[in-house]
Amino acid sequence: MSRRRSFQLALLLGPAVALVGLLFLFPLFGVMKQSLFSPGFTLESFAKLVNSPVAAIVMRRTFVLALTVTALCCVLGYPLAYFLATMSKRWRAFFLYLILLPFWISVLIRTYTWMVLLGREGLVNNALMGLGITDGPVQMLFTGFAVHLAMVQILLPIVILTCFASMVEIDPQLVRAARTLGATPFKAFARVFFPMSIGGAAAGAIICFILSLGFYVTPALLGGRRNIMLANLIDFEVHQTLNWSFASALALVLLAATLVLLGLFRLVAPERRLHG
Amino acid sequence: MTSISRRRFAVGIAAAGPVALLASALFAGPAAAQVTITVNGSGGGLAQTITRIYEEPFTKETGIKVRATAPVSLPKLKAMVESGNVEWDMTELGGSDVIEATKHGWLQPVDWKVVDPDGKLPDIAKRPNAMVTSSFSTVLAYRTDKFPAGKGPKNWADFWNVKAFPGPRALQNSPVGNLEFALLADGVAPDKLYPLDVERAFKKLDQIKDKVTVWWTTGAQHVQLLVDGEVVMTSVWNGRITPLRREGRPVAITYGGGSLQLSYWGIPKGAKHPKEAMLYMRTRLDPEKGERFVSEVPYPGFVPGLIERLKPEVARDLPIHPDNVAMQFRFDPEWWASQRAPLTERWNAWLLQ
Amino acid sequence: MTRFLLGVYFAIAVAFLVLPLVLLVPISLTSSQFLEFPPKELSLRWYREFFVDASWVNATLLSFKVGVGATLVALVVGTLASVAIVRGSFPGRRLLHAILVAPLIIPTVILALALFIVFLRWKWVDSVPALIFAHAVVALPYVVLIVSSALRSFDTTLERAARVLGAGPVRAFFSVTLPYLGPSMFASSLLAFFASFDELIITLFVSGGLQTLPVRIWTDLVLRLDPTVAAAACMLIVVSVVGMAVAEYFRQRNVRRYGS
Repeated sequence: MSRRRSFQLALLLGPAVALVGLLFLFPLFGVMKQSLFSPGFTLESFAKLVNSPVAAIVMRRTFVLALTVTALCCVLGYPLAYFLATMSKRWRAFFLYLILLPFWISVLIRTYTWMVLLGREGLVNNALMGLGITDGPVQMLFTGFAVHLAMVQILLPIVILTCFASMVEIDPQLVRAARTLGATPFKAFARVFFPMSIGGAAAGAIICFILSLGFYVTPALLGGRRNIMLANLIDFEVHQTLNWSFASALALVLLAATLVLLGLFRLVAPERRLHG
Repeated sequence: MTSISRRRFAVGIAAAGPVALLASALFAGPAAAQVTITVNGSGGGLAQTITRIYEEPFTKETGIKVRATAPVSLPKLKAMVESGNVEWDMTELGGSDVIEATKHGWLQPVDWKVVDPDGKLPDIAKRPNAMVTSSFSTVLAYRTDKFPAGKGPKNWADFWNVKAFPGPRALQNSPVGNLEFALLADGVAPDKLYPLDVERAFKKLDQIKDKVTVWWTTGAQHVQLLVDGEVVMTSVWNGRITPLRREGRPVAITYGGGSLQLSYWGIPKGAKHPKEAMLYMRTRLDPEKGERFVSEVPYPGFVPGLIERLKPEVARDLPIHPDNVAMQFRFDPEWWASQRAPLTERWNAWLLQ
Repeated sequence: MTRFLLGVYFAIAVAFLVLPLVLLVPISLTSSQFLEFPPKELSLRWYREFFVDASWVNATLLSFKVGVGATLVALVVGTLASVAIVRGSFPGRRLLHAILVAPLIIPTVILALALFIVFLRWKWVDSVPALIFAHAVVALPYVVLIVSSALRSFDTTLERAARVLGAGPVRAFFSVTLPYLGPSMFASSLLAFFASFDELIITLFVSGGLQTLPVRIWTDLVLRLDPTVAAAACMLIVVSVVGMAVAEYFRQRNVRRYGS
């Protein structure tokens, strides 16, 4: 590489390296350091990670919740993506925009709408009582149900989209060919379409899982005492108990889980999808 | 805050802008040396009352401006003092906050010769590095329309009695105070509370756990839960209910089993304007302002001559009224200062199970 | 028959995704002090309240300021880096791309904590420029993703043609490549802006006393539920939807114009 070229490269990359180095990599390194030094080297925070009942429960619940939400999103989202992929092009564009619409609105506001709807004197309860389905208000706000419902609503578009992306690339001729060769519609779907679309679904599931792991706003606003996630616990340790070392150790657990899942993503998803 | 007062407040700000600009143009000299002190408090509707009664006259008299921030946060104080980047010149603190802050050396001494030159304040209101600004109580509040007239809950035993007093409840998300309430509900005498029987308290709390749908974290939140009908009763800070009653909302409090506490003002170590902050601290010794403040917000301080000036119906609602004192217990910040960290840990684990 | 059932299910699902947001509109138009549905009386009271209350207006202005700042930083930094990554050949360019995009996928709370720890040490808490740079990190992935993918599908023969016709490399870039990138840069800057405009968690950790619009909403949500939030939310929805539609339009137009 010529000197001139490396100078150009430095000019182009310098700002990005400075920004991301100073405000992303270096701070992450700071978290690592914070978890290990207090002020001398100690493994206290990581010992606490293992010993503290709170950390154990929260980590387990976070993973279980993320897994449940992901499973729900996949089961609900796959048929939706299938329907979308097999409808006429004009309707498809319309519905694609409609499904993407909430995706562009902040999670804070999408969570807020559920606060409004699910309260004891909220819309859903009033409707239930008005229709005579229940006698009194049902407790929905501040429960795990509300957290699940809102998280599925927030993450579903992502799963639909990734599934859809892999489905539209499947040549419909292939399914038709299977039918002509005597396969039942179900068999044609199960043997031809499904195996070809499962990659996209898996990629969507992993993204959905990673995003669920980091949820903060939704459980904080809609959940009850049991629905504390890792992000909320980190916030609590920073702002309430002042134990920044422990908060850092928790953040590293979350980071490690994310990186492992990203590795998994690279395995299932074709290269080009990462690059958009 | 009502919409009218909020609008008036905003209009006031808009009108004050050009006036202040004009004033600073006319008096360029003094304006250049103008100091703004940052005073941290618990915010909310309370902050507006404080602005009107204390901050604005103070600025008029001394030329020192006051910027109010919120909320009260010990971690923030820690962060500021330890990083040397102290934004607050003064902050509100709870009883055990002061003890913890003192232990870590986060506060600087108050110069009582400046704040109280005539020695008017009683000793109970003075600590070497903090002054009592007000007294308040964490009490039981309930929706009057959800129970037959005059048949609302009277004490913590009633709060625990979900048969006679059905409906969802809220409590603060903290062991502080709740352990006391549980013991009172379990029949412990108010003067025999400390040292707390922690095991017994948690066992009692187990009984109510599933009836408590919300564990609140801020003062404005518990009020809202009650107003929205999310809960029928909750623990509250007594002063938050007064404005709601004035608006005619169906809410009431009982002082039965209330936790009588003190609130302080302290100056962080490394504050930029400690002298000015102490001058501002002094305004809390004015009984006339104190009377106006307490008539709006029932959080009285130990201002000499304050109680004598109050109308009986205002005094009747205060946490320090003798009839009310008799129903409450004296919260012990010393006990909590040493127990807070381990008990918070245990509380969180308990809450998750 | 299966197709019909699937269609019904699809309609229900779309309603589930979109309806809650639509219902917010009538709720925000109530004249009552409480959230009610359907509102007994329609009024713009809470919209007025929003513009009269200094704390809402200041929060909105701050969010715009930070958003514009973060977008400019992310746009410049991200575009330069994309050019280097797509055009250059240096070791670790795939790793660099991954790192630049990482803030998009890594849970925000980690970054919030990390920035909080270093900002305390640098005394950057409570500073608008610091907040702008912090948001720029979160906005950067959008610029890098969109601009680098546009660059990748760009036909370099055009640029080479310009070079052959005597333009210097810099001139060729500015007169051929940059106009091509324009729409992508515009689209990505809109996305970057909204990434900053909607950002809550990092701001909660590092902003000190500064209140951006999401922080203002957040404090209202944990404190109270008055219809001002509903009004603010509706306006935000409209702004987001219009902004995104514009961004999408420009991205599509570019795809159509230059093929893919």
